[in-house]
Amino acid sequence: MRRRVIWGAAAIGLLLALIGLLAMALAQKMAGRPEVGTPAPDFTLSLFDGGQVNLAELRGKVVVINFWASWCPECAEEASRLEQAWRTYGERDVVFLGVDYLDTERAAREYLVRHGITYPNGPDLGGRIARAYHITGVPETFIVDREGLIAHVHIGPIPAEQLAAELERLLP
Amino acid sequence: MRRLILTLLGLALLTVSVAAQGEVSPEAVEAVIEQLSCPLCGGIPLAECDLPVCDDMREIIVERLAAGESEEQIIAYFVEQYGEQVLIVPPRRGFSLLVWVLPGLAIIIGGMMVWWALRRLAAPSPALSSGSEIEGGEPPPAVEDEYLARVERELRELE
Repeated sequence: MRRRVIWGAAAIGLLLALIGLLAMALAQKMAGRPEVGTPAPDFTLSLFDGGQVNLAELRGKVVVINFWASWCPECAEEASRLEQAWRTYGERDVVFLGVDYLDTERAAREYLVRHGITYPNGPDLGGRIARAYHITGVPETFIVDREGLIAHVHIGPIPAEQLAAELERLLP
Repeated sequence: MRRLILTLLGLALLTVSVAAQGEVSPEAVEAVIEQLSCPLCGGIPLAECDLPVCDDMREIIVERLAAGESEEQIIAYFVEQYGEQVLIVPPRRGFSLLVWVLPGLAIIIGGMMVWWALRRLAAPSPALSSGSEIEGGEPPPAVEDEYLARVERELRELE
């Protein structure tokens, strides 16, 4: 009788532990994207052209983080708009960062040349940055204010006017 | 199926063309490819995927093999690029270990439950196991049903 109780308790304990583990995994997966007004998750991006950029070190500047991929037609749609905005706002201390999501380096480099993109871009190795920002796909754009807080999130190709309006709002 | 044949045919042509520069056997290419999945389409084997990214991945495998990289180095490169989700077989560590452990545990626990249930079914009813044998005959069969056990008991009392 006592043995049966011990075995029963062990089985229930094991079951609860498994449910707990699955719940943790689910909670991690379901955790929402960083919301507007919350700190932007820090990351270091290794650039295609060499060197690295660390988000935390850009504190004091407005940062536009754009997730893209060479295989994504909507990304190509907004590529020239982003480059144009970079040329306009780069002079006003706005930093643009392109984060290349689940791509091959060769295709990514071709894409950057094809669209004439000159702002810093790098691969999201292992999809770590995309996971930190809980992106739902590409393209997605996060605008980080000078205090390092997320000021705007846009899913899909960002219209030029909207990007300009958001940047104007954040710039002195 | 047609897509798979086309993919394999393209791969064979690619292997032959690159092999002309360096020594790469189709078996070596396949050995790497069969360990990888498409990073974008949730577990579809790389060999069966016709997305441009997967075409590029297959080309990279051939090129890296031709450059003298080992199977392990190429796999490590793709894991660095896309994370462990690119592996067909999850690694036996961390949270992925559950994928290996859970089926075994499920079989053990399920087996124990079945064994316990069968043992209960096979066990003689307490009402009859403690009773005396029917005169001149075999011991009564094990009967689970409480109602039947009661009928048997009352019949014995009438005799």
